[in-house]
Amino acid sequence: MVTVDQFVALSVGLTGFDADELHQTGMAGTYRSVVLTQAGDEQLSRLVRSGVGGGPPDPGDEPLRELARSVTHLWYTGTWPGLPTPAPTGKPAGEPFVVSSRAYAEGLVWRAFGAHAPGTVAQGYGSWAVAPPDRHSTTDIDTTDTTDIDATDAEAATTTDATDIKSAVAR
Amino acid sequence: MSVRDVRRWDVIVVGAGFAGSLVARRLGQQGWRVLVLEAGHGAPDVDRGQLDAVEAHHAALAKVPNSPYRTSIAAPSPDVTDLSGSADGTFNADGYLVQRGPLPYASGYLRANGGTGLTWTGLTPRMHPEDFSAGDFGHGRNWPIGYGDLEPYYEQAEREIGVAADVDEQREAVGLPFRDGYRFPMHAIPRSTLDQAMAEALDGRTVRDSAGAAPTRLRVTGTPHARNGLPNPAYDGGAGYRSSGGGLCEGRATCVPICPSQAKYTPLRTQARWSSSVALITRAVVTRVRLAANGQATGVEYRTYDEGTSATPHDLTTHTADADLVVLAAHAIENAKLLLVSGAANSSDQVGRNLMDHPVLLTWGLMLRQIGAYRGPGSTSGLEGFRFGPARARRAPFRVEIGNWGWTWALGPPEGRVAELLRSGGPDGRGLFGPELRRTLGDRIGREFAFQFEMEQEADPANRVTIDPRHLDALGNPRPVIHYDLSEYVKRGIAAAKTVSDQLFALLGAEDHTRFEPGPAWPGWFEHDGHPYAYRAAGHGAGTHIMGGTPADSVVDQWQRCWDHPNLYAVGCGSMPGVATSNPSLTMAALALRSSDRIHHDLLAHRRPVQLRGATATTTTTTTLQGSDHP
Repeated sequence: MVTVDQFVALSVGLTGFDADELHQTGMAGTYRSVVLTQAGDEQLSRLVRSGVGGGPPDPGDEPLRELARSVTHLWYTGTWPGLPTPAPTGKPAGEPFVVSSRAYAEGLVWRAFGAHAPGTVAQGYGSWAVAPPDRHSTTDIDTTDTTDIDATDAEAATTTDATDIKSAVAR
Repeated sequence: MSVRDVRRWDVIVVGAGFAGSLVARRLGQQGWRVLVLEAGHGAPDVDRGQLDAVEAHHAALAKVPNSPYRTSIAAPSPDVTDLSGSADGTFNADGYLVQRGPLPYASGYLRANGGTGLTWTGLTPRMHPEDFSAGDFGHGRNWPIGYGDLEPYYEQAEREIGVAADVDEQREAVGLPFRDGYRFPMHAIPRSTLDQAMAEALDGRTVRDSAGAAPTRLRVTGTPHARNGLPNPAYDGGAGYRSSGGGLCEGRATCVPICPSQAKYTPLRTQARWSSSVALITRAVVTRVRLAANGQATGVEYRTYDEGTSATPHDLTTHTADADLVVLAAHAIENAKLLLVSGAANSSDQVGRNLMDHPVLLTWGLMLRQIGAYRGPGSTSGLEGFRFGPARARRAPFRVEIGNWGWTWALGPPEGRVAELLRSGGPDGRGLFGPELRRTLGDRIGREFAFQFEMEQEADPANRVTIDPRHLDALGNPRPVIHYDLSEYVKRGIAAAKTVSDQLFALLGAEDHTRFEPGPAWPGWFEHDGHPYAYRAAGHGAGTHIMGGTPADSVVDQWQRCWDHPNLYAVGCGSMPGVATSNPSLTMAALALRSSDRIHHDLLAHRRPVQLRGATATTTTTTTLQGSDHP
């Protein structure tokens, strides 16, 4: 049976969010259960094995790639998008559902651009009038922030956008 | 007031939404005994209902206007998800409304306590003085009243529902007249980052909407809001303003369909201030207005029901209620349906006709830099210069809303962009994953924006609501049958709006992603002059019991009183002779308050010299009101 840690390790490669970020959502255990229920342990194990090197499975394996899409979609939106083939549980195939209101709130798509799922967080009166950091510009990065970044994060900085580091430090 | 204690009511109000709740409050305040009948469900208590609704919305797969609220099988609501488009450009409708086309009536409404006023966006621009004589431009009808008649009631409505706006900006940029020294109850809601970026690029520039037309100068203008901002100490001659409920706007970005901080006005706030002489029954579907041989309304017949978890309503009971005066406030389409079922008010043959809405052209794209999409109210500013002027003779006028919530209205929430990148992103077109997916979404979603062009639709008797005994709902009541189309005038307006959009994108240097292709997502798809367009709709149904100057060609008089029945009123947007370009709820509220004064006067005439009941009803009030009716 695929463990939560294995599931998270797989999800890091698929989502581009690191293990700490994924654990912080509080959804890792729930999402593992959802995927096990919807796709079965055999498929999920295959996906975990194929994802050892990080990233999505071989483009030649379309069913596995479809599962990779579903897992990534789940993390980004809190919604199980459904699978084109029937699940082993007998649930009708292709029926999408929102896992929970909490899952909606934790969708990574909002975090990807520094926002929150609509309705979930009180951002304060007038917050919408304050400019967000410009993600194309490196001049917004405060050097006092970057000095706090340890070697692991600095490595991540080569693959993600500079402003993500700023928000990671702020957290 | 307990329903059992009353054998005969002074007033029955049908519908506990925007207009009905206001009328009940005014009349209750004056001591009249008012029974309000609401067809849909009510929440057991306001705060619990609110929490349930927020939770339901977050967990809903399709986050549409009605999704937080409990809808009813016994009193069905049309939902935007009832419609879908086909690849050949036609549409399908499988909901409550029977849609005969040729184009779809694309708005929903909500039958529940509070009505569509629960889900509304909370924008409250006034109509422009010119809108009251729109018929002079050769399209649609003139109003029997002018801006000046409504102006005092606009002020009252702005107090009642709590409006935040800058009076000087409204005067200069929109051209609205205000009483000297008038201030809105609250300071203007701050402009979004997107508004600021727009103003930087657009203010002072000009665009043309057709060859030969005078150019329109652009000015990004704040929109009045019915949501709690900072009170203006200068309001009411220095008396200031205190909100009647809810917290300060917290920028949670779900005004439609539900404001978690209750900063947005809903009719439930007015209901909380109803006097003890007002009684509400929910799950009470009015089936007809009862009329006496002399044309007087004597009351209504209604059916109560229960709906547990089962799919069918049960415990159906038929009741009658008697009253001196009946007010229909059930929504433009429901009011028309009730009048038609009752064989009432139709000597002009105009009941159900002149159905209008705000068809909305959406255009969408990406700004050059991050503008913080999906924050704050759905729209905080607009471009007002296309609402009036001589161009109105050639094409429908429109108001331009600047949309803060990305591409949600056009293409759905960002989940759709995630799915698309997973499916077809990446160098091989077979899906984007990992850090590259995160980077791409992070770059794009926060730059999403949309323009929302709300088109005036003129009164056309062929656009209409009818009933047909072959189409009944679960209770055996007729479902509204809709005939609806966009005129050449509206289509020319939409085409003009698109050319304006093209110029705005060029001035902004923004990436235009607008595409209209027939298919499931665009039931309102059509071609005009060889170009494809598609519209959504703003939920602003109007005109079905149209107001006019004579009984020959209108259903209600300037007081929203049916010409054919002196003690039957039909209130709400259904009375509007023109829907103009402004979001209509504020005007509906002003009209309802104006009618309330008239109803009070009617009741006094009928019941004089009975003494008034209730603490707030004093001789002074009576004198003032009578005086104002005989200036």
